[in-house]
Amino acid sequence: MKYDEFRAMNSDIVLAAEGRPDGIEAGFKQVRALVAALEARFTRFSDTSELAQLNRASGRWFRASTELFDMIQQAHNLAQITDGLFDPSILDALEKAGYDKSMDEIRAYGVTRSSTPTKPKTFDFQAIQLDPETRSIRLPRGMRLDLGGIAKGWIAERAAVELAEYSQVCAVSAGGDMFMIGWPAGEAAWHVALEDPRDPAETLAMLRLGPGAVATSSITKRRWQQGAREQHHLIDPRRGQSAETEWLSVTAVAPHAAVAEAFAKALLIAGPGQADYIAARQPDLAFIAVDRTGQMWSSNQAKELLDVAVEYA
Amino acid sequence: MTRFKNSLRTLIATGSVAGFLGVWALLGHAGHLAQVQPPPAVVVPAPSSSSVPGDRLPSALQPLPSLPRSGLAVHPRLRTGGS
Repeated sequence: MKYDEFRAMNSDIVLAAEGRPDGIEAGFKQVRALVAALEARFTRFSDTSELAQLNRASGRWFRASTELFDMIQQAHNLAQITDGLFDPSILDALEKAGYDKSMDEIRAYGVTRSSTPTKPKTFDFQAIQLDPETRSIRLPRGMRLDLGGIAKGWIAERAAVELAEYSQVCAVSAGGDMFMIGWPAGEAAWHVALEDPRDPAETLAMLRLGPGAVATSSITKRRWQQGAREQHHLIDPRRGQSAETEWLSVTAVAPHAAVAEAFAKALLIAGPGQADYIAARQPDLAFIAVDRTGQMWSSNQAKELLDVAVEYA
Repeated sequence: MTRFKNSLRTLIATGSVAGFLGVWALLGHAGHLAQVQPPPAVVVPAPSSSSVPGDRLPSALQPLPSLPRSGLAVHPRLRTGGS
């Protein structure tokens, strides 16, 4: 297995592929270019991105690219199926919580808004209008989107499909949200380390996964101080504030990366009282949650589909 | 004695009417409040995800075995843990 690693979307990107070295190198180069182009299209930190143009057009119809329309359409479906716990229309809340520049910049320079956060505007993302025939999107007036909750997974899957043109066995990880194609030679599964959210350098378990997607949402990595208040990037759309959840992370396994990523966030917000109920809406989904003591909790589907490889111990 | 019985009947009837009207007014007021302030929209857990009183975890969630930290020496390049 050959690997390529680089940084994009404020995340570590890992490409993995088997096959002829020259073909794989060409594939890696192609995928690097694709990820850069998609990041430029979907970032909220650039005024020239297509997402920024869509946000500026709120209240009016906006003709989107095939890629943006597909992502928004998937986000719309995922918002419905998660009872709105997954909701990209939380940009105002994110910015008022202090996340108004990239996490790399926040880590380097701190937040811009250090005063007491003001009450953010909340929107009903499901009220957006989509016209598939013209690929047009109309956001309710004032609504602005952040695609951080779905874009990495969506891009990872898109990039893996691209890499599969060069290698029949490959995987793309975007900050731990990944999509795998084929089965590694001589292996019964893809081996993916599940990080301990209390200390990402530590591994809680080894997951043995087939082709498809895995994604993790955590409240321990993208954190910052806003005045006296500690914030994190997982916004509870019901309150417009950083979610208060008993779990530190949720890892979701699903056939598609956007689904895994969106459900990881929704289930983390839902917490132990409601996660199983929400997850049941997606029959091919499995999840593992980690609580504050490091204890892992799994859905029944996770026990069937995942093997926490104790033999690695 | 008859006069006493009549007074008692009048008292009971008056009390009943007053009580009825009072309860009627209270119920009407409560209904009005319920219309003005609907309960917050929350996701209601499905009946199937019953939980033991005092135990907030749905029965379908199961703990996974913790592995000894020193036992996981393998650190593959593919890791998931959020970003």
